Amino acid sequence: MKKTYYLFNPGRLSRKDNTLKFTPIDENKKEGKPRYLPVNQVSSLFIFGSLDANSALYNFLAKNQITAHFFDYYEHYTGSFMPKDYLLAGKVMVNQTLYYHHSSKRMNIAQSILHGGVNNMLRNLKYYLNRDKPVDKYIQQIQIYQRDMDSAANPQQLMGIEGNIRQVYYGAFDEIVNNHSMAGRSKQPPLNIVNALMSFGNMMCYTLCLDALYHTQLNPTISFLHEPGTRRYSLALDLAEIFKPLLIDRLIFSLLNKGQIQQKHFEQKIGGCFLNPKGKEIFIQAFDKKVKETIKHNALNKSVSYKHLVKLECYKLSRHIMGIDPYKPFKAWW
Amino acid sequence: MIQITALHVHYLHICHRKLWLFSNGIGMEHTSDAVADGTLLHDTAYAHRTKRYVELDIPGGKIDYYDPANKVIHETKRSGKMEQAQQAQIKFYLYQLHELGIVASASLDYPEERKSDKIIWLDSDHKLVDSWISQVHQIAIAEISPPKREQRFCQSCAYYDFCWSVDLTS
Ligand code: SF4
Repeated sequence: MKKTYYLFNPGRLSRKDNTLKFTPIDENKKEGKPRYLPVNQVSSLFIFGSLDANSALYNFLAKNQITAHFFDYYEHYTGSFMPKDYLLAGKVMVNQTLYYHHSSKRMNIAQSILHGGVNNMLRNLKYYLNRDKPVDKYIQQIQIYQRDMDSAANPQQLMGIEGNIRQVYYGAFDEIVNNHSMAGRSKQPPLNIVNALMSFGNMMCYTLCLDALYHTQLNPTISFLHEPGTRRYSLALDLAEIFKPLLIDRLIFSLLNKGQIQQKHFEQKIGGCFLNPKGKEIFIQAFDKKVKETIKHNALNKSVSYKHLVKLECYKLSRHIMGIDPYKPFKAWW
Repeated sequence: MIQITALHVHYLHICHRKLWLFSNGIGMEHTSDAVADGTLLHDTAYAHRTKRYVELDIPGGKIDYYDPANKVIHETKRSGKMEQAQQAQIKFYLYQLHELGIVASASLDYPEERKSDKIIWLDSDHKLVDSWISQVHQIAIAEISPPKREQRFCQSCAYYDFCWSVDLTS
Protein backbone atom coordinates (compact mmCIF):
# COMPACT_ATOMS: atom_id res chain seq x y z
CA MET A 1 0.00 0.00 0.00
CA LYS A 2 1.47 3.33 -1.05
CA LYS A 3 1.16 6.14 1.44
CA THR A 4 0.77 9.86 1.53
CA TYR A 5 3.50 11.63 3.48
CA TYR A 6 3.01 14.99 5.12
CA LEU A 7 6.08 17.13 5.63
CA PHE A 8 5.65 19.80 8.27
CA ASN A 9 9.20 20.60 9.23
CA PRO A 10 11.61 22.56 7.11
CA GLY A 11 14.29 20.47 5.51
CA ARG A 12 15.86 19.08 2.41
CA LEU A 13 14.46 16.30 0.28
CA SER A 14 16.84 14.44 -1.97
CA ARG A 15 17.26 11.19 -3.75
CA LYS A 16 19.31 8.46 -2.19
CA ASP A 17 19.37 5.36 -4.42
CA ASN A 18 15.79 4.17 -4.42
CA THR A 19 14.68 6.12 -1.41
CA LEU A 20 13.66 9.65 -0.66
CA LYS A 21 15.90 11.17 1.95
CA PHE A 22 14.48 13.87 4.17
CA THR A 23 16.96 15.89 6.18
CA PRO A 24 15.35 18.22 8.70
CA ILE A 25 17.00 21.63 9.01
CA ASP A 26 16.28 23.80 12.05
CA GLU A 27 16.20 27.62 12.34
CA ASN A 28 19.95 27.73 12.93
CA LYS A 29 20.54 25.82 9.69
CA LYS A 30 21.58 22.81 11.68
CA GLU A 31 20.83 19.49 10.01
CA GLY A 32 18.98 16.81 11.93
CA LYS A 33 18.96 13.06 11.53
CA PRO A 34 17.69 12.12 8.06
CA ARG A 35 14.70 9.86 7.40
CA TYR A 36 14.45 7.56 4.43
CA LEU A 37 11.25 6.71 2.58
CA PRO A 38 11.35 3.83 0.11
CA VAL A 39 10.12 5.41 -3.11
CA ASN A 40 7.77 2.60 -4.05
CA GLN A 41 5.83 3.15 -0.85
CA VAL A 42 5.10 6.81 -1.50
CA SER A 43 2.05 7.90 -3.43
CA SER A 44 2.17 11.62 -2.76
CA LEU A 45 3.75 14.31 -0.63
CA PHE A 46 1.93 17.11 1.14
CA ILE A 47 4.44 19.79 1.89
CA PHE A 48 3.68 22.36 4.58
CA GLY A 49 7.15 23.36 5.73
CA SER A 50 9.77 25.01 3.58
CA LEU A 51 11.54 22.47 1.48
CA ASP A 52 14.85 22.43 -0.34
CA ALA A 53 14.92 20.19 -3.39
CA ASN A 54 16.66 20.09 -6.74
CA SER A 55 15.63 19.03 -10.22
CA ALA A 56 17.16 15.57 -9.76
CA LEU A 57 14.67 15.03 -6.95
CA TYR A 58 11.74 16.16 -9.09
CA ASN A 59 12.87 13.94 -11.94
CA PHE A 60 12.97 11.08 -9.51
CA LEU A 61 9.47 11.87 -8.21
CA ALA A 62 8.23 12.11 -11.79
CA LYS A 63 9.70 8.79 -12.73
CA ASN A 64 7.79 7.23 -9.86
CA GLN A 65 4.60 9.16 -10.51
CA ILE A 66 4.69 10.81 -7.13
CA THR A 67 2.78 14.06 -6.83
CA ALA A 68 3.83 16.83 -4.46
CA HIS A 69 1.36 19.40 -3.16
CA PHE A 70 2.51 22.64 -1.58
CA PHE A 71 0.91 24.82 1.05
CA ASP A 72 2.01 28.19 2.36
CA TYR A 73 2.32 29.26 5.96
CA TYR A 74 -1.27 30.46 6.02
CA GLU A 75 -2.38 27.02 4.94
CA HIS A 76 -3.36 28.02 1.46
CA TYR A 77 -2.86 25.48 -1.23
CA THR A 78 -0.27 27.05 -3.51
CA GLY A 79 0.22 24.43 -6.20
CA SER A 80 1.26 20.94 -7.11
CA PHE A 81 4.04 19.17 -8.83
CA MET A 82 2.26 16.70 -11.05
CA PRO A 83 4.56 14.56 -13.17
CA LYS A 84 3.60 14.51 -16.82
CA ASP A 85 0.30 12.81 -17.49
CA TYR A 86 1.14 9.18 -17.76
CA LEU A 87 -2.39 8.03 -18.37
CA LEU A 88 -3.36 10.29 -21.24
CA ALA A 89 -6.20 9.05 -23.40
CA GLY A 90 -7.43 11.28 -26.19
CA LYS A 91 -10.82 9.63 -26.34
CA VAL A 92 -11.55 10.34 -22.68
CA MET A 93 -10.52 13.96 -23.07
CA VAL A 94 -12.69 14.39 -26.16
CA ASN A 95 -15.69 12.83 -24.44
CA GLN A 96 -15.20 14.83 -21.27
CA THR A 97 -15.26 18.03 -23.31
CA LEU A 98 -18.28 16.80 -25.23
CA TYR A 99 -20.21 16.12 -22.05
CA TYR A 100 -19.28 19.52 -20.75
CA HIS A 101 -20.48 21.26 -23.90
CA HIS A 102 -23.75 19.44 -24.22
CA SER A 103 -25.95 21.35 -21.81
CA SER A 104 -28.30 18.54 -20.75
CA LYS A 105 -25.43 16.07 -20.49
CA ARG A 106 -23.54 18.51 -18.33
CA MET A 107 -26.57 19.25 -16.15
CA ASN A 108 -27.20 15.58 -15.65
CA ILE A 109 -23.71 15.07 -14.19
CA ALA A 110 -23.83 18.33 -12.21
CA GLN A 111 -27.13 17.33 -10.62
CA SER A 112 -25.86 13.87 -9.78
CA ILE A 113 -22.77 15.26 -8.12
CA LEU A 114 -24.77 17.71 -6.08
CA HIS A 115 -27.29 15.04 -5.08
CA GLY A 116 -24.37 12.99 -3.83
CA GLY A 117 -23.04 15.89 -1.82
CA VAL A 118 -26.42 16.86 -0.39
CA ASN A 119 -27.22 13.28 0.48
CA ASN A 120 -23.97 13.09 2.42
CA MET A 121 -24.72 16.34 4.25
CA LEU A 122 -28.15 15.02 5.17
CA ARG A 123 -26.54 11.79 6.36
CA ASN A 124 -24.44 13.80 8.80
CA LEU A 125 -27.44 15.70 10.09
CA LYS A 126 -29.53 12.56 10.48
CA TYR A 127 -26.74 10.97 12.44
CA TYR A 128 -26.94 13.81 14.94
CA LEU A 129 -30.72 13.85 14.85
CA ASN A 130 -30.54 10.28 16.13
CA ARG A 131 -28.31 11.55 18.90
CA ASP A 132 -30.90 14.07 19.97
CA LYS A 133 -29.45 17.16 18.39
CA PRO A 134 -32.24 19.54 17.33
CA VAL A 135 -31.42 19.52 13.63
CA ASP A 136 -34.75 18.39 12.16
CA LYS A 137 -35.71 21.82 10.90
CA TYR A 138 -32.41 22.07 9.02
CA ILE A 139 -33.00 18.69 7.45
CA GLN A 140 -36.46 19.67 6.30
CA GLN A 141 -35.25 22.95 4.87
CA ILE A 142 -32.45 21.24 2.95
CA GLN A 143 -34.88 18.67 1.59
CA ILE A 144 -37.08 21.47 0.27
CA TYR A 145 -34.12 23.02 -1.53
CA GLN A 146 -33.07 19.62 -2.78
CA ARG A 147 -36.35 19.24 -4.62
CA ASP A 148 -35.56 22.38 -6.60
CA MET A 149 -32.34 20.91 -7.85
CA ASP A 150 -33.96 18.82 -10.54
CA SER A 151 -35.75 21.77 -12.06
CA ALA A 152 -32.69 24.03 -12.13
CA ALA A 153 -32.18 25.28 -15.66
CA ASN A 154 -28.43 25.55 -15.67
CA PRO A 155 -25.35 24.96 -13.52
CA GLN A 156 -25.41 28.56 -12.26
CA GLN A 157 -28.88 28.03 -10.81
CA LEU A 158 -27.76 24.74 -9.38
CA MET A 159 -24.84 26.41 -7.66
CA GLY A 160 -27.26 29.00 -6.32
CA ILE A 161 -29.29 26.24 -4.71
CA GLU A 162 -26.10 24.68 -3.45
CA GLY A 163 -25.30 27.99 -1.75
CA ASN A 164 -28.68 28.02 -0.04
CA ILE A 165 -28.29 24.45 1.12
CA ARG A 166 -24.84 25.14 2.52
CA GLN A 167 -26.13 28.12 4.43
CA VAL A 168 -28.74 25.97 6.14
CA TYR A 169 -26.29 23.13 6.65
CA TYR A 170 -23.75 25.40 8.30
CA GLY A 171 -26.53 26.74 10.49
CA ALA A 172 -26.89 23.21 11.86
CA PHE A 173 -23.19 23.15 12.80
CA ASP A 174 -23.98 25.38 15.75
CA GLU A 175 -26.36 22.72 17.06
CA ILE A 176 -23.89 19.90 16.51
CA VAL A 177 -20.63 21.40 17.71
CA ASN A 178 -20.46 21.86 21.47
CA ASN A 179 -18.79 24.92 22.94
CA HIS A 180 -17.87 26.58 19.64
CA SER A 181 -19.93 28.72 17.36
CA MET A 182 -19.50 28.78 13.61
CA ALA A 183 -21.77 31.78 13.12
CA GLY A 184 -21.98 31.20 9.40
CA ARG A 185 -19.27 30.43 6.93
CA SER A 186 -16.40 32.87 6.72
CA LYS A 187 -13.48 32.39 4.35
CA GLN A 188 -10.54 34.57 3.44
CA PRO A 189 -9.94 34.84 6.28
CA PRO A 190 -11.84 32.35 8.41
CA LEU A 191 -13.02 34.26 11.47
CA ASN A 192 -13.26 31.55 14.11
CA ILE A 193 -12.00 28.10 14.81
CA VAL A 194 -14.84 26.18 13.18
CA ASN A 195 -14.29 28.14 10.00
CA ALA A 196 -10.55 27.74 10.25
CA LEU A 197 -10.97 23.97 10.44
CA MET A 198 -13.42 24.01 7.58
CA SER A 199 -11.11 25.98 5.32
CA PHE A 200 -8.17 23.79 6.11
CA GLY A 201 -10.18 20.59 5.78
CA ASN A 202 -11.80 21.56 2.51
CA MET A 203 -8.43 22.33 1.06
CA MET A 204 -7.18 18.91 2.13
CA CYS A 205 -10.20 17.28 0.54
CA TYR A 206 -9.70 19.23 -2.67
CA THR A 207 -6.09 18.13 -2.82
CA LEU A 208 -7.04 14.52 -2.16
CA CYS A 209 -9.49 14.65 -5.06
CA LEU A 210 -6.94 16.29 -7.32
CA ASP A 211 -4.50 13.56 -6.45
CA ALA A 212 -7.02 10.86 -7.32
CA LEU A 213 -7.77 12.55 -10.65
CA TYR A 214 -4.11 12.60 -11.54
CA HIS A 215 -4.10 8.81 -11.51
CA THR A 216 -6.91 8.58 -14.04
CA GLN A 217 -7.47 9.78 -17.60
CA LEU A 218 -9.84 12.56 -16.57
CA ASN A 219 -8.74 16.11 -17.14
CA PRO A 220 -8.95 17.99 -13.82
CA THR A 221 -9.81 21.34 -15.41
CA ILE A 222 -12.99 20.29 -17.21
CA SER A 223 -15.79 20.17 -14.67
CA PHE A 224 -19.56 19.89 -14.64
CA LEU A 225 -21.04 21.38 -11.49
CA HIS A 226 -18.45 24.08 -10.97
CA GLU A 227 -17.60 26.35 -13.85
CA PRO A 228 -14.36 25.12 -15.41
CA GLY A 229 -12.02 27.39 -13.63
CA THR A 230 -9.06 29.42 -14.29
CA ARG A 231 -6.55 29.17 -11.48
CA ARG A 232 -7.99 25.96 -10.09
CA TYR A 233 -8.72 22.35 -10.89
CA SER A 234 -12.46 22.58 -10.97
CA LEU A 235 -13.15 18.89 -11.45
CA ALA A 236 -11.45 18.35 -8.09
CA LEU A 237 -13.96 20.81 -6.65
CA ASP A 238 -16.80 18.77 -8.16
CA LEU A 239 -15.51 15.61 -6.55
CA ALA A 240 -14.85 17.35 -3.25
CA GLU A 241 -18.50 18.34 -3.15
CA ILE A 242 -19.35 14.68 -2.65
CA PHE A 243 -16.67 13.83 -0.13
CA LYS A 244 -16.38 16.94 2.04
CA PRO A 245 -19.33 16.03 4.30
CA LEU A 246 -17.99 12.53 4.78
CA LEU A 247 -14.31 13.25 5.22
CA ILE A 248 -14.06 16.77 6.57
CA ASP A 249 -17.29 17.70 8.34
CA ARG A 250 -17.40 14.49 10.33
CA LEU A 251 -13.81 15.02 11.29
CA ILE A 252 -14.47 18.54 12.48
CA PHE A 253 -17.43 17.43 14.58
CA SER A 254 -15.51 14.70 16.29
CA LEU A 255 -12.26 16.64 16.80
CA LEU A 256 -14.10 19.50 18.44
CA ASN A 257 -16.65 17.52 20.40
CA LYS A 258 -14.02 15.20 21.78
CA GLY A 259 -11.84 18.15 22.63
CA GLN A 260 -8.93 16.85 20.56
CA ILE A 261 -8.66 20.25 18.97
CA GLN A 262 -9.05 23.26 21.24
CA GLN A 263 -8.68 27.01 21.28
CA LYS A 264 -4.97 26.67 22.03
CA HIS A 265 -4.39 25.05 18.63
CA PHE A 266 -5.22 28.25 16.79
CA GLU A 267 -3.71 31.62 16.36
CA GLN A 268 -5.13 34.93 15.23
CA LYS A 269 -3.29 36.61 12.42
CA ILE A 270 -4.01 38.80 9.42
CA GLY A 271 -7.43 39.40 10.89
CA GLY A 272 -8.41 35.75 10.80
CA CYS A 273 -8.15 32.52 12.70
CA PHE A 274 -5.72 29.79 11.65
CA LEU A 275 -4.51 26.46 12.92
CA ASN A 276 -1.11 26.65 14.53
CA PRO A 277 1.53 24.01 13.74
CA LYS A 278 0.38 21.69 16.52
CA GLY A 279 -3.23 22.08 15.44
CA LYS A 280 -2.35 21.28 11.84
CA GLU A 281 -0.52 18.18 12.93
CA ILE A 282 -3.48 16.93 14.97
CA PHE A 283 -5.86 17.63 12.13
CA ILE A 284 -3.71 15.95 9.50
CA GLN A 285 -3.14 12.91 11.64
CA ALA A 286 -6.86 12.53 12.06
CA PHE A 287 -7.45 13.21 8.37
CA ASP A 288 -4.91 10.62 7.35
CA LYS A 289 -6.49 8.08 9.66
CA LYS A 290 -9.89 8.92 8.22
CA VAL A 291 -8.93 8.45 4.58
CA LYS A 292 -7.39 5.10 5.44
CA GLU A 293 -10.56 3.87 7.11
CA THR A 294 -12.22 1.17 5.07
CA ILE A 295 -15.75 0.17 4.26
CA LYS A 296 -17.04 -2.97 2.66
CA HIS A 297 -17.79 -2.30 -0.99
CA ASN A 298 -20.58 -4.63 -1.91
CA ALA A 299 -20.23 -4.48 -5.66
CA LEU A 300 -16.48 -5.04 -5.58
CA ASN A 301 -16.85 -7.57 -2.80
CA LYS A 302 -13.89 -6.25 -0.85
CA SER A 303 -12.98 -3.52 1.60
CA VAL A 304 -11.89 -0.20 0.21
CA SER A 305 -10.46 2.85 1.92
CA TYR A 306 -12.14 6.24 1.80
CA LYS A 307 -9.21 7.39 -0.26
CA HIS A 308 -9.89 4.67 -2.78
CA LEU A 309 -13.56 5.61 -2.84
CA VAL A 310 -12.49 8.90 -4.37
CA LYS A 311 -10.63 7.05 -7.09
CA LEU A 312 -13.65 4.84 -7.73
CA GLU A 313 -15.70 8.00 -8.18
CA CYS A 314 -13.26 9.02 -10.93
CA TYR A 315 -13.73 5.63 -12.57
CA LYS A 316 -17.49 6.04 -12.44
CA LEU A 317 -17.28 9.45 -14.07
CA SER A 318 -14.98 8.03 -16.73
CA ARG A 319 -17.39 5.21 -17.44
CA HIS A 320 -20.21 7.69 -17.71
CA ILE A 321 -18.53 9.95 -20.24
CA MET A 322 -17.37 6.93 -22.21
CA GLY A 323 -20.99 5.83 -22.46
CA ILE A 324 -20.38 2.65 -20.48
CA ASP A 325 -22.56 3.10 -17.36
CA PRO A 326 -24.71 5.99 -16.21
CA TYR A 327 -23.08 7.87 -13.34
CA LYS A 328 -24.55 7.45 -9.89
CA PRO A 329 -22.89 9.51 -7.17
CA PHE A 330 -21.47 7.95 -4.07
CA LYS A 331 -23.99 8.26 -1.27
CA ALA A 332 -22.99 7.44 2.27
CA TRP A 333 -25.55 5.31 4.06
CA TRP A 334 -24.00 5.17 7.51
CA MET B 1 -5.06 1.93 -38.00
CA ILE B 2 -3.50 0.96 -34.73
CA GLN B 3 -0.33 -1.04 -34.41
CA ILE B 4 -1.50 -4.40 -33.22
CA THR B 5 0.70 -6.14 -30.72
CA ALA B 6 0.69 -9.51 -29.06
CA LEU B 7 -0.98 -7.88 -26.07
CA HIS B 8 -3.97 -6.90 -28.20
CA VAL B 9 -4.29 -10.47 -29.34
CA HIS B 10 -3.94 -11.68 -25.79
CA TYR B 11 -6.72 -9.37 -24.59
CA LEU B 12 -8.92 -10.33 -27.53
CA HIS B 13 -8.98 -13.80 -26.04
CA ILE B 14 -9.50 -12.63 -22.48
CA CYS B 15 -12.09 -9.90 -22.60
CA HIS B 16 -13.31 -7.57 -25.32
CA ARG B 17 -13.95 -4.77 -22.81
CA LYS B 18 -10.34 -5.03 -21.73
CA LEU B 19 -9.14 -4.87 -25.30
CA TRP B 20 -11.30 -1.81 -25.95
CA LEU B 21 -10.11 0.04 -22.86
CA PHE B 22 -6.51 -0.79 -23.58
CA SER B 23 -6.79 0.21 -27.25
CA ASN B 24 -8.29 3.53 -26.26
CA GLY B 25 -5.45 4.36 -23.94
CA ILE B 26 -7.44 3.83 -20.78
CA GLY B 27 -4.78 2.18 -18.68
CA MET B 28 -4.81 1.62 -14.98
CA GLU B 29 -2.50 3.01 -12.40
CA HIS B 30 -1.07 -0.17 -10.96
CA THR B 31 0.48 -3.11 -12.63
CA SER B 32 -0.75 -6.19 -10.90
CA ASP B 33 1.45 -8.30 -8.71
CA ALA B 34 1.18 -11.16 -11.16
CA VAL B 35 2.95 -9.09 -13.79
CA ALA B 36 5.74 -8.23 -11.39
CA ASP B 37 6.01 -11.89 -10.53
CA GLY B 38 6.31 -12.79 -14.19
CA THR B 39 9.15 -10.34 -14.68
CA LEU B 40 11.00 -11.83 -11.79
CA LEU B 41 10.67 -15.25 -13.29
CA HIS B 42 12.13 -14.05 -16.55
CA ASP B 43 15.04 -12.50 -14.75
CA THR B 44 16.10 -15.49 -12.74
CA ALA B 45 14.68 -18.76 -13.97
CA TYR B 46 17.03 -19.52 -16.84
CA ALA B 47 19.82 -17.14 -16.05
CA HIS B 48 22.42 -19.73 -17.01
CA ARG B 49 20.93 -20.34 -20.43
CA THR B 50 20.53 -16.76 -21.58
CA LYS B 51 23.47 -16.94 -24.01
CA ARG B 52 21.44 -19.05 -26.36
CA TYR B 53 18.79 -16.38 -26.67
CA VAL B 54 18.55 -13.02 -28.31
CA GLU B 55 16.01 -10.31 -27.90
CA LEU B 56 14.12 -9.92 -31.12
CA ASP B 57 12.48 -6.66 -32.16
CA ILE B 58 9.23 -7.15 -33.98
CA PRO B 59 6.71 -4.55 -35.14
CA GLY B 60 5.10 -3.07 -32.03
CA GLY B 61 7.03 -5.11 -29.53
CA LYS B 62 9.76 -7.55 -28.83
CA ILE B 63 10.23 -11.22 -28.21
CA ASP B 64 12.32 -11.60 -25.08
CA TYR B 65 13.82 -15.03 -25.65
CA TYR B 66 14.45 -16.13 -29.19
CA ASP B 67 16.78 -18.94 -30.05
CA PRO B 68 17.94 -18.05 -33.57
CA ALA B 69 19.87 -21.27 -34.17
CA ASN B 70 16.78 -23.45 -33.76
CA LYS B 71 14.25 -20.77 -34.63
CA VAL B 72 12.38 -21.23 -31.37
CA ILE B 73 10.63 -18.62 -29.26
CA HIS B 74 10.85 -19.39 -25.56
CA GLU B 75 8.38 -18.22 -22.98
CA THR B 76 8.52 -19.08 -19.32
CA LYS B 77 5.53 -19.64 -17.17
CA ARG B 78 5.16 -20.38 -13.52
CA SER B 79 2.77 -23.26 -13.58
CA GLY B 80 -0.58 -24.58 -14.57
CA LYS B 81 -2.05 -25.08 -17.98
CA MET B 82 -1.52 -22.75 -20.83
CA GLU B 83 -4.50 -20.56 -21.38
CA GLN B 84 -5.94 -20.08 -24.79
CA ALA B 85 -5.06 -16.37 -24.64
CA GLN B 86 -1.42 -17.17 -24.12
CA GLN B 87 -1.44 -19.66 -26.90
CA ALA B 88 -2.96 -17.04 -29.18
CA GLN B 89 -0.33 -14.53 -28.21
CA ILE B 90 2.39 -16.96 -29.17
CA LYS B 91 0.68 -17.78 -32.45
CA PHE B 92 0.72 -14.09 -33.13
CA TYR B 93 4.50 -13.97 -32.60
CA LEU B 94 4.91 -16.84 -35.00
CA TYR B 95 2.71 -14.98 -37.46
CA GLN B 96 4.88 -11.90 -37.18
CA LEU B 97 8.01 -13.95 -37.78
CA HIS B 98 6.30 -15.64 -40.70
CA GLU B 99 5.66 -12.20 -42.18
CA LEU B 100 9.39 -11.60 -41.92
CA GLY B 101 10.03 -14.85 -43.76
CA ILE B 102 10.95 -16.94 -40.74
CA VAL B 103 9.10 -20.15 -40.04
CA ALA B 104 9.60 -20.64 -36.33
CA SER B 105 8.08 -22.61 -33.49
CA ALA B 106 7.61 -21.84 -29.83
CA SER B 107 8.27 -23.54 -26.58
CA LEU B 108 6.46 -22.70 -23.40
CA ASP B 109 8.65 -23.64 -20.47
CA TYR B 110 7.61 -24.35 -16.92
CA PRO B 111 10.88 -24.24 -15.01
CA GLU B 112 9.30 -25.20 -11.71
CA GLU B 113 7.65 -28.25 -13.20
CA ARG B 114 10.57 -29.05 -15.50
CA LYS B 115 8.41 -29.44 -18.54
CA SER B 116 7.48 -27.52 -21.64
CA ASP B 117 4.75 -27.27 -24.28
CA LYS B 118 5.50 -26.96 -27.96
CA ILE B 119 3.62 -24.80 -30.41
CA ILE B 120 4.24 -25.11 -34.12
CA TRP B 121 3.15 -23.00 -37.05
CA LEU B 122 0.41 -24.50 -39.20
CA ASP B 123 -0.51 -23.27 -42.65
CA SER B 124 -4.06 -22.65 -41.48
CA ASP B 125 -2.78 -20.35 -38.75
CA HIS B 126 -2.30 -17.55 -41.20
CA LYS B 127 -6.01 -17.20 -41.83
CA LEU B 128 -6.75 -17.62 -38.16
CA VAL B 129 -4.43 -14.84 -37.05
CA ASP B 130 -5.67 -12.61 -39.87
CA SER B 131 -9.16 -12.98 -38.49
CA TRP B 132 -7.98 -12.09 -34.98
CA ILE B 133 -6.33 -8.96 -36.33
CA SER B 134 -9.48 -7.80 -38.02
CA GLN B 135 -11.46 -8.53 -34.86
CA VAL B 136 -9.02 -6.47 -32.82
CA HIS B 137 -9.47 -3.59 -35.24
CA GLN B 138 -13.21 -3.78 -35.09
CA ILE B 139 -13.29 -3.77 -31.32
CA ALA B 140 -10.68 -1.06 -30.95
CA ILE B 141 -12.50 1.42 -33.16
CA ALA B 142 -15.98 0.73 -31.76
CA GLU B 143 -17.59 3.88 -30.41
CA ILE B 144 -18.95 2.15 -27.34
CA SER B 145 -17.16 -0.31 -25.12
CA PRO B 146 -18.13 -3.97 -25.26
CA PRO B 147 -19.94 -5.27 -22.16
CA LYS B 148 -18.21 -6.59 -19.08
CA ARG B 149 -17.50 -10.23 -18.53
CA GLU B 150 -18.94 -12.21 -15.69
CA GLN B 151 -17.44 -10.91 -12.49
CA ARG B 152 -15.76 -14.16 -11.52
CA PHE B 153 -13.52 -13.88 -14.60
CA CYS B 154 -12.50 -10.40 -13.60
CA GLN B 155 -10.99 -10.93 -10.17
CA SER B 156 -7.39 -10.75 -11.30
CA CYS B 157 -7.88 -8.12 -13.98
CA ALA B 158 -6.22 -4.71 -13.59
CA TYR B 159 -9.52 -3.12 -14.62
CA TYR B 160 -11.49 -4.83 -11.90
CA ASP B 161 -12.12 -1.67 -9.86
CA PHE B 162 -12.77 0.32 -13.00
CA CYS B 163 -15.43 -2.03 -14.33
CA TRP B 164 -17.09 -3.08 -11.12
CA SER B 165 -17.26 0.07 -9.01
CA VAL B 166 -20.99 0.21 -9.50
CA ASP B 167 -23.70 0.98 -6.99
CA LEU B 168 -22.58 0.19 -3.49
CA THR B 169 -25.54 1.09 -1.34
CA SER B 170 -26.00 -1.70 1.12
S1 SF4 C 1 -12.64 -6.39 -15.14
FE1 SF4 C 1 -13.64 -8.01 -16.30
S2 SF4 C 1 -14.93 -6.93 -17.73
FE2 SF4 C 1 -13.47 -5.46 -16.97
S3 SF4 C 1 -11.84 -5.49 -18.44
FE3 SF4 C 1 -11.28 -6.91 -16.83
S4 SF4 C 1 -12.01 -8.87 -17.52
FE4 SF4 C 1 -13.02 -7.35 -18.76
